[in-house]
Amino acid sequence: MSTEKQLDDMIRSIEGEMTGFIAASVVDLESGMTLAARTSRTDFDLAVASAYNSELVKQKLKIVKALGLKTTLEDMLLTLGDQLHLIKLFPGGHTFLYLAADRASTNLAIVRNAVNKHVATLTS
Amino acid sequence: MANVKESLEKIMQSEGAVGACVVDSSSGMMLGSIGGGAGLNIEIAAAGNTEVVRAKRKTMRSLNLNDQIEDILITLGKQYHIIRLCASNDALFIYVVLDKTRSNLAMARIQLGEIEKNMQIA
Amino acid sequence: MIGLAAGVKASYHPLGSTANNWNIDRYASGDPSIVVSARTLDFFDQAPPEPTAGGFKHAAGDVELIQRPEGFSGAISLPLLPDLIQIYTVSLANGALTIRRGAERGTIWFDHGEMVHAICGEEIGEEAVYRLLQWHNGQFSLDANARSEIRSIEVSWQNVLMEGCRRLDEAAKDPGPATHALDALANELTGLRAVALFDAEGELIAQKSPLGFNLGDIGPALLEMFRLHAEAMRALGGRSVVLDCFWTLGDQVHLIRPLRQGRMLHVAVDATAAQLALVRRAVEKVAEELG
Repeated sequence: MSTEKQLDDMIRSIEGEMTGFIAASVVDLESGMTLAARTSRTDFDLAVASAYNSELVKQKLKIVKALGLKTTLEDMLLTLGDQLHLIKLFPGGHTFLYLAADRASTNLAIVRNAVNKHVATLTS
Repeated sequence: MANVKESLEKIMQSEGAVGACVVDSSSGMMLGSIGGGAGLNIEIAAAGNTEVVRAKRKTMRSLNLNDQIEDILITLGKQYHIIRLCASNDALFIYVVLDKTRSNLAMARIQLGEIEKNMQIA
Repeated sequence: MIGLAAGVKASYHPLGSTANNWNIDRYASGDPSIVVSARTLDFFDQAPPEPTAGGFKHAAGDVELIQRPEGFSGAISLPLLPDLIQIYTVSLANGALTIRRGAERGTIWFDHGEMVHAICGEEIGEEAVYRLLQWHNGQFSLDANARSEIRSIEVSWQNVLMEGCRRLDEAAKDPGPATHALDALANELTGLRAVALFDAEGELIAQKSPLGFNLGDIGPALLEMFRLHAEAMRALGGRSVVLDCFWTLGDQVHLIRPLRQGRMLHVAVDATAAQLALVRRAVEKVAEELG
């Protein structure tokens, strides 16, 4: 079980690996509550985003189950008009990392690589 | 006409080639890669170089340069990096890493140009 | 409220002596006006005019320059043709709206905001408008002085647009063209488990399952997912449009992509994350074909 400091450091490391960071949070799937959060923009309500994202993840897990898939959901990448959103599930499936980035300053591959690298360090 | 895999294999035949990949600059992800290894994480390189291409394009736009990028050559201490934009599809580029001591940049550049022209993405 | 150009002799910004800041409508009438479209298609294809003492020479004749500080001009860009048509109907416009897409052309004539006549290819009247509504892109310009004697459209513009949109929705649900596009995808992506196209209600339009994997029932669940997402974006004060959604599941990858008319394309491929770009590109092509 990671401490809040460890989660916070992890988010900072991810932020340091990329430009265009908007916000990131580590969220408890069941409750939708944030365990750690960081945002570079005051107009981005991370608590609200995290709560919605846990509903989204649950919805997706339902779909995966309905499709009869045995493999677990690892991550989700959303390409929006002006943003990239990434959700990375931690092993165990009770927690996930949510990251929002500005599409003009970075790309999907950079975001994905940065997240995978630092989540692996924490959860290995 | 050669596909991505064949084109990458041909690139590796160039003297001094360490690794290469074909990248989709809209996502930074690779359509295919070859070589690399411990000294070169091709995936990270592809993602990072996507931003190089995007930045260059942005600069050209702000300068109102009505022109196309053919290639970008970067000389490092021990390596040459060549980014070759695909004329057939401007979202794609080929990224090649060469060992400086074993390669001839001019030759590599010309060969890469030919391979790019001959490459057909399915 | 944006009115419509009856035509100006010229509106010239006195910022310099070069021809750079001009905006000319060659169909002069002298009434003060608001130019909605900055360009007359053919006119702007020609070379810029040479200045003379009181104005400039142009192939159409000498154009006198009159400074017109009032009125608006500019080029506008809209995602949908019905929106463009509505600008003219709601402002009770007169004139001929010409839309050009590559070598193809279509024209709609307005009389006090009503669409009275239209041609597109061999189609005339409402059918011409329906044909134009199928186009997803193009350039437009309005000739404010053109009038049509012919009355090939009898019904109101609201009815025409509604029927046009209804036909688009119907066409979107047609499994024929969908099956063709999905077949092409199956050929291109080795390891394709299944690809399914759902309509705006979550109903399956067409599916292809080379490995027997059935996606057919999850349409409503996907709808719910997009709904949740839209709600989340609203709560965050954003209006971001989802372009695509990737799920990595160990040995397979799912890509969900919204299309026009509220449709959803879902692709499931046996692939490692290393092949995401290939999947994405293949799906781009299908998305383009399906419109």
